[in-house]
Amino acid sequence: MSALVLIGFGAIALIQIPGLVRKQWWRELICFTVFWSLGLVLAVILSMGIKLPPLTTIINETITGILKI
Amino acid sequence: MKRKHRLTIYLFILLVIIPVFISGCWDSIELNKLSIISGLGWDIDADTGQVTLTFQSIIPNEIKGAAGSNGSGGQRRGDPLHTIQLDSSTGSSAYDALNRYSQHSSRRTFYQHTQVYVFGHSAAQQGIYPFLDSISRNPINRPNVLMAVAEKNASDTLSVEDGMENIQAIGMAAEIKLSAEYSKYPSITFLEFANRLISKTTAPLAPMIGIIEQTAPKGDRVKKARINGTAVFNGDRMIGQLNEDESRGLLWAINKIKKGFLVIPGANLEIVSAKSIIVPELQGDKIMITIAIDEESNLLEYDGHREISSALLQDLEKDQAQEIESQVMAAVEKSRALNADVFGFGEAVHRRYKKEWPDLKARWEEIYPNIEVVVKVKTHVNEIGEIKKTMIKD
Amino acid sequence: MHLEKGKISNFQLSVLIIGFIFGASVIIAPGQGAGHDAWIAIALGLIEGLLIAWIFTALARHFKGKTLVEINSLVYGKFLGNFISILFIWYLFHLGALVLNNYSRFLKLELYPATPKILTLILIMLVCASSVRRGIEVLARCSLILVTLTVFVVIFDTLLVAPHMYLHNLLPVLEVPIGKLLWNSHATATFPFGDAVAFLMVLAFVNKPEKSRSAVFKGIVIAGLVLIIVAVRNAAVLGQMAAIYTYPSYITARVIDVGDVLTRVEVLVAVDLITMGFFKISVAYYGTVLGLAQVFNLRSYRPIILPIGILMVILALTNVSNTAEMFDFANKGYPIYTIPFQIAIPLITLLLAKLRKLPQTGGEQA
Repeated sequence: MSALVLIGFGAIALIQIPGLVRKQWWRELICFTVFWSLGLVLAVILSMGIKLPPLTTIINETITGILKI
Repeated sequence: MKRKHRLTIYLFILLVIIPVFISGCWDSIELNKLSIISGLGWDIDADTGQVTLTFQSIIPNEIKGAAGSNGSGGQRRGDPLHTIQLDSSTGSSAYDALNRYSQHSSRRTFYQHTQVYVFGHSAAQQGIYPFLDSISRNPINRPNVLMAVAEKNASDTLSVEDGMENIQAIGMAAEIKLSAEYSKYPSITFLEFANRLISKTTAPLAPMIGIIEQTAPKGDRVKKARINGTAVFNGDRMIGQLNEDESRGLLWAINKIKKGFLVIPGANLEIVSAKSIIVPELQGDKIMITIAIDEESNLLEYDGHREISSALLQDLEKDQAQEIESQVMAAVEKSRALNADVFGFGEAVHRRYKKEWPDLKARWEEIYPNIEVVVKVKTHVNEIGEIKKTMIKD
Repeated sequence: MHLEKGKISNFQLSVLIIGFIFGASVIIAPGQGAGHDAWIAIALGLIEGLLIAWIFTALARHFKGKTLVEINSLVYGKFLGNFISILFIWYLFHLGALVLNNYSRFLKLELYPATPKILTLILIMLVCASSVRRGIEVLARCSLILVTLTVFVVIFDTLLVAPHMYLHNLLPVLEVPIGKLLWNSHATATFPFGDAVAFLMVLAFVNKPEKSRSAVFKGIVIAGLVLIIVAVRNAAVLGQMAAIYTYPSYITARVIDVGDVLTRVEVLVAVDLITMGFFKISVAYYGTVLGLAQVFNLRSYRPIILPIGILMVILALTNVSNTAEMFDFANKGYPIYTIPFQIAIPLITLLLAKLRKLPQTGGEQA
């Protein structure tokens, strides 16, 4: 599973990065890399089976906690 | 890479890879790996409390074989018992039994064609909610599946062969629908049963199927499944039943009369159409329900010797109205005896008197037997058939 | 405006809004908490939704041709403005993930029980990504066909199920307690009507900005009317089970059985979800990507489309642990959670802009 993730992300990088480097769009490249890395880290964590915190549930419980004590 | 080549490659990838996932290939199952369940039966063993689920499944290739022998022009139909297979699975609860079945069956169960859910008599008396809950959570449940209660065991009912149909459950479902069409017993779908169950005051119903023995033309005894009553529930437990007259009365009241026959002294009429409205009235603490029935019929058979005149028809109409009223009142009496609101009087009051309803609902069990019911019937005999005078001289 | 060269007409805007509002509401019935009075809740929610729309269309008209990110920079200055824009972009991103989540759970439950959710998520995301890549004009162009298809399916379903409709199931009217009714109508106002605030990223590209307000209103009203009809139909057919079933429109379609031949029509309802869900996700996706590009001053939003898409899929996979939490959030948390994004940000920005007498021709003034 993790292998698939790495392959997938690698493919995305391969598709996007050469074009950006060629055009010398450095700012876009940085942006891309930041999001790409974030996605990569999270995806690898997920594929290893570790559960990420359920954001929507956390938001929900905060809101209902504050308002509907 | 040239732009055109790249596009072609992308297109190729798109057209080949994506449909693999989208068309549900992951979920695809070949027909011969499926066990198509046409009927599901539920029994509870009185002693051990174990649940037995009976699955009537269709064996597709056998049906083709049977059709083949039909095509060759014989009267002999393919032996029905070979086109369906009965299996049962026992467990401590509905879901347990369901799961065990899928474990020891060689085929995947496919419930999308289930025609009917049959509940054993004792199981119905104990309460069928566990089954209803698990089946309705499962997306394979369809709201149109018919509900039925067996006179004894569901497994016996599902194993009775139906001479006409190859697949017994389809025959049973067709029979239920036909009896509703001829206004004898109601046909209740899962959705209707569920809605009656949710309403705390209305009593759920289901047609009752019994097994009778008949002598076939060849002289041997044949078992057949026939509908012979309407089961009345309180919540999810069966508490009693309505006989043929009472069922007919019920159908008159809840506007479910379609076609059918009406027998009155000296004549036989065919019901063309009927409409009924339940009008509730709340006077202080007393509830009065008026059931207004409007019926139209044709004359089928006349045994008397009078001239077929308008006066005669009017007399027939009066007799009809009396017969209908007595049938409805029979149903009302039985429902009072069982203290089960089979007609939905409660909901009728609910719809009209929204403020008073919560209080009435809480006391519905004591209120119901005291409800005054008035039946007003209007009938009309329309056609008299091919002959206008009797052929016998008086 | 070199990030988006396309222009859309007001008509396309209306249709796009209809598609967006149908979004997941074809399947997740709005107003379900109100029982058979759901249609009243939707009607009231529609009114409140129009009020919300009034605010953000006023903002868009005030700053013609500018997306929310640009407006924020003008009104609050670059630093604060970008901060607020990022909050708004988070709302859009989260919305996209929520719809993706609804979508994949429904598909998994009803149509593809064996296919792993991540596959459906990735495929939908890729489709949305490819249309976002081509710009808003392309989205608007395909909206007409797909929305018309959906409306046809709704009409077709409603007609076929008419024999099974028992209008007395809608009685007694207004049985639900007023508090619950108002809460549910506010909930409907925020989901799906209020979500139209996402169009603050799209309104900049309308070719006749003066008429955009009426186009938005038209879209919201038409979508609202269809939702009301659907609510009435579901309650009439399913009775009290309408509030119990997770996906009432789907079950209503299952009841259709014309002469034993025309059955299993419910798959068309699933098609509705697939097409309309695609719109909602795409518009939210587009807003996110365009907004981020504007905040970070990128030359094009294309490079970040795929990474953002993947992040959206990840959020959709992980944001709730089970379907019950999803519904819980939709019913309890979401109506409150969206207030800052749907109401507060546009309203405060508008007031501040008017106070500071913006936009000035030729630069801002402190």
